[in-house]
Amino acid sequence: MVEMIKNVFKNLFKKPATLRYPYEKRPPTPGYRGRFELIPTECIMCTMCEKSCPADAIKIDKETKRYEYDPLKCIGCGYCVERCPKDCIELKPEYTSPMTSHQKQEWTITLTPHKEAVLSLKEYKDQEYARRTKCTPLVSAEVQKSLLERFSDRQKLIASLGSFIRCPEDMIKEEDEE
Amino acid sequence: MAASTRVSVVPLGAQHPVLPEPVALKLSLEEEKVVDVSITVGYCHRGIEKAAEMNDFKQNVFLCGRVCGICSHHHTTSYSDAIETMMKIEVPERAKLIRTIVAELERLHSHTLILGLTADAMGYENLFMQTWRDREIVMDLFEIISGNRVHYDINQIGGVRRDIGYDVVKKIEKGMDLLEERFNILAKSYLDDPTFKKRTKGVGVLSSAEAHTYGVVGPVARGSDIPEDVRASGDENYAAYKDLHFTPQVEEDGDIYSRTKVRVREVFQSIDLIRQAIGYLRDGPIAARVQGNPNGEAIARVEAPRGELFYYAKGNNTKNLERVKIRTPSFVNIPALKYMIIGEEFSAVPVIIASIDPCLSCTDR
Repeated sequence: MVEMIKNVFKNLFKKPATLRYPYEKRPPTPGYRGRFELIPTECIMCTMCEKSCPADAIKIDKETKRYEYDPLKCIGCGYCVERCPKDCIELKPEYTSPMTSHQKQEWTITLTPHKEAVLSLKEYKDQEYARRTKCTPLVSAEVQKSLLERFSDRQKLIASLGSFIRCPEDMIKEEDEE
Repeated sequence: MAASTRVSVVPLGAQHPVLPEPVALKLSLEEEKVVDVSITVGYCHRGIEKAAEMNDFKQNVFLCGRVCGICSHHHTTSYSDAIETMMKIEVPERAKLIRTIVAELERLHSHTLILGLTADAMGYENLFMQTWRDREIVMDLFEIISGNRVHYDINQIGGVRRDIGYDVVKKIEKGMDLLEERFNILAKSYLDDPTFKKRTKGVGVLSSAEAHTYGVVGPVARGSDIPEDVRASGDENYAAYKDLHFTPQVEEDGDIYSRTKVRVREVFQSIDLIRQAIGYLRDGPIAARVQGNPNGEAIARVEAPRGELFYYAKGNNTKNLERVKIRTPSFVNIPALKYMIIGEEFSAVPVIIASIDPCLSCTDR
């Protein structure tokens, strides 16, 4: 009984456990996986996010350069953020606003000449790679060298070009044979 | 004058305010006494096992997490464990400890959830709200650790996706202190309250022999004097439990009260396990490299908040798996419900259902 009276008085002067929401907002936690945001100027349309998405929420049209994101399909796992080589996808620590109809978010990807060059090279690489499953040189050692000089960040090039410079030993071997 | 023994059939569910998820019970009542019951599950079947064959094995981690909203982490741990066994990946110690910490936090939030719902089912609204208020401490910790309150997706094949920093560890420790302090008060209500005792003692009894027959798992089994806990008996790959010291909590009576007792004690046990795991944390990698595709078959068992969760996976050296089989604890516990309910008063039925902690999303998959 004494404890009950104590509790009653305590609760009279205690702040409520809940927030008075519209007036008082909860500060977002850093790292919260909230609103999906794309930086269209950074994207290189590698479609890694499209392939990695477990819910098929992302659709990329390479020809029209449209990037489509379906917020109702998205499960907010953040796998696309992890897989993006350019870090151009972000899940911002904000809550998404409610929707009244099924709307998709769309972005148009802008490509700089530099990015276009990388893309065309990548496309060439993909075609070549599909044709020859064996690890063979796709560009000669000189071209490779010049490419490496042109790009300041060597690691980046290796990451973006992949199998161009995959197998140096094989390349040397084949050049010797020729 | 002989009393007329008319049997009336009362449907409870599939949608009913007292049920958190859809399960249909057809109760045959004689006056107030339940004489027969038929249970139907399958209202939230989503075909996840089939969907797991379509996705690539790394995406499946997220899919398996979405089998259940409450034991999400245990599903991903179990699935990753199965794939890691298949691919012979060595998970780093730090990743194992982070998995353990999140798993125990999940047990905390699941147990506080169902303890609250048990109180709610018997009309003890105040206790329900207080329990759920304190559950928020754990939910906030989840948001800090993983970036989401539900579906934390902290696991990936080979380790975990996010590291726990020093400041987060401090926050977890602080949260555990606060939760322990608050739960000490709540535990008194659950264990000593005369109202609570009256509604739970000797109700929904599942004897040890029957528990063996039905093969129940988790707190239901431990409440019926079966010391079964995968954390203690499972293989040594399972998170970091082989380093931690604890004993399974067992009660003898097999009624709702003993199940509640087991859960209340497990809340304190989880708090202790989290503190132990934090003590073991050392710097190191949080994920191992994954190369190639899974080939062969593997199983994994984990102790989810509701009991033993079992995963079977079969790979065929492509990125898609051939088969994923999930056996969830609620699926095993629900048949035992029939035995518990028959012979009880109608008013005790919701409490009995809440006491086995049924998770229908898990059950139906």
